[in-house]
Amino acid sequence: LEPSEVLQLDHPTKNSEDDGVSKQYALLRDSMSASALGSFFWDAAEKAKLFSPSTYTIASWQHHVYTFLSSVVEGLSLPPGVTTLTVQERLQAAVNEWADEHDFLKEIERVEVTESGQVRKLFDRARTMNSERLPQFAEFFRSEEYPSTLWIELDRAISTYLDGLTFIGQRMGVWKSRRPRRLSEVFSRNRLTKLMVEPIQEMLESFLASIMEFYRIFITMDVWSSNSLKEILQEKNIHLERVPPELFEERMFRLQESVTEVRQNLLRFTPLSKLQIDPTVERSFRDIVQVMISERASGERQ
Amino acid sequence: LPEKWISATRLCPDANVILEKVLKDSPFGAKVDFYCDMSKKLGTVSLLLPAVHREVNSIIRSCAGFFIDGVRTYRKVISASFDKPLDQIPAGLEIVRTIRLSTPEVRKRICSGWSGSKREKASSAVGEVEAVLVEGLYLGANKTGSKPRTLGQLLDETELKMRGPYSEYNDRYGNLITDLKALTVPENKMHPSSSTIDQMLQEDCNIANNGDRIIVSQAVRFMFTQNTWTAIVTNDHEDLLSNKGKIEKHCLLLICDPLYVFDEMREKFQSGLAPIEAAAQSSIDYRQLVRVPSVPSRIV
Repeated sequence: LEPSEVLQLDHPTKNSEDDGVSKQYALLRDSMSASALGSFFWDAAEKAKLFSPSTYTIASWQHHVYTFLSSVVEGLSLPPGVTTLTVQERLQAAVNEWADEHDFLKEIERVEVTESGQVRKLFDRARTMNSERLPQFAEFFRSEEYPSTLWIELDRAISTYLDGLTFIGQRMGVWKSRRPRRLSEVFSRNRLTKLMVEPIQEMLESFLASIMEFYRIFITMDVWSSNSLKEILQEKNIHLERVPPELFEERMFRLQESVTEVRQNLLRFTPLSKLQIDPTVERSFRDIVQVMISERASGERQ
Repeated sequence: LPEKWISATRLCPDANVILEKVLKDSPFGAKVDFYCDMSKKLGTVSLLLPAVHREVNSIIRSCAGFFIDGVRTYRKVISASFDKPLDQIPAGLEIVRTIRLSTPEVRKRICSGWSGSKREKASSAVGEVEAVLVEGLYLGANKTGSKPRTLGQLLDETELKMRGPYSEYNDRYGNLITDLKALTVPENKMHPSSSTIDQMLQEDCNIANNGDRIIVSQAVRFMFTQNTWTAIVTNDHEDLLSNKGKIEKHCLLLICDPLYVFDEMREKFQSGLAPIEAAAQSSIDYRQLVRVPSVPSRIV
């Protein structure tokens, strides 16, 4: 980064802040749609329906999006007067907006399960979209108005999801060669895909659970920053002032825990991207931890 | 064949034992290494109590946050002492003096709102950030051939460098959980605590630290929900090991040094009684410790 860019990130001007907010909502919409699409495929593969024509219908997609978004909003602690249904409807509207913009519903209906690479192409689209959008997400929260722990955890989460998406992409590469060539092969190929997904099922589930936690942090901050129901998940400056600290801590803990779990699950199959470790910073971090934990051993707590 | 006590009991390391292993070079390293190695070798089941799991995650996160906040505070304090942006100031050795002069104000800002020994510790932790910045200045000055950095860049890079250790130490914790095959237990899968257990732990068992009382209380809740012998593995002599006799007498929970937990747990198991039966025999009403619902909780 050029120094001027660094300054802009840390101290955004009003205009760049507005642009950032607008971009942030577009990223959320695209990323959430891509995650819903990714999970649509995993779900179909797990149910041995990846190559079933009945999977690729508007009704099937919409049902999946409904289920996916219900899980995202499940258990969210919301301010008085706000229901999970309101939040879910806003998210649904965002995914629908994305689908309209990309003419996605027509695309999904056009899928011919016996056509070379069509399923794979759509899956790749979800994966690529998330890989492109996610890295841009964390930087916004590096601003000093958000806690530093938020940025550093989002950064770790995104790096993990990118590793996960790469791995899943490689695993699913074989789909293309295993696709049915004629409708009579659909049943056996569906069974085969189900078997191929089984060994990585736990990893996929933890990945999905974690990315939902990722969205929940943003949704929590958004909803508590809204001045009215109309403002929920609409472009605005989001901040933490009104988020109850214990709620924010809970969401952070859930995200951190879930990311660690995905990383452990991924490590069973593939190495993860390693960030460079500066020995001076590492020593400093270790010493800070030692200082902080000595607090407990001395029997004090405030 | 493995002895039955190995799979039929639960060992709960506290946050310090876990962090000592994660940090690797702690003063209690040998004992904690013994516990982890032996646990893997024997195949004992470790349990991460909810409060412990939260505390470990929270300490790793908040310490990384502390470092970044320290760098950010230096940025603010230093900015005030220059009349031009930090990205126009070379990060040369003359800045060492600026860091030195800024540090008291950084300490003051970081430590405001803290008191007592916590303040002292925060102040000492600021020294860690200070050291990284000064070392960064010297390292930059000794680098030849590369484009000289600005002060703005140095501070920004230092902040970004925390990503590596943060990710690494979270992974080490994850690896430890995997290595020990440690289980987590959700709060709602244990009987709730009674209204009097906290007071009993404070008055009868002399546990002064609120965090320690929460951990002991959770372990007791787990033990009587599952009717499974449970031990807390700790190096804490202040509140826990020094009161182990009282804690065992009042709630049957074992408090063990990492070196002796396997021996003590085997002995306890070999008594032939499960915790609820042992409570009845010792005239301990475990319903005074945990609130047993009329319909039993599902077994975890």
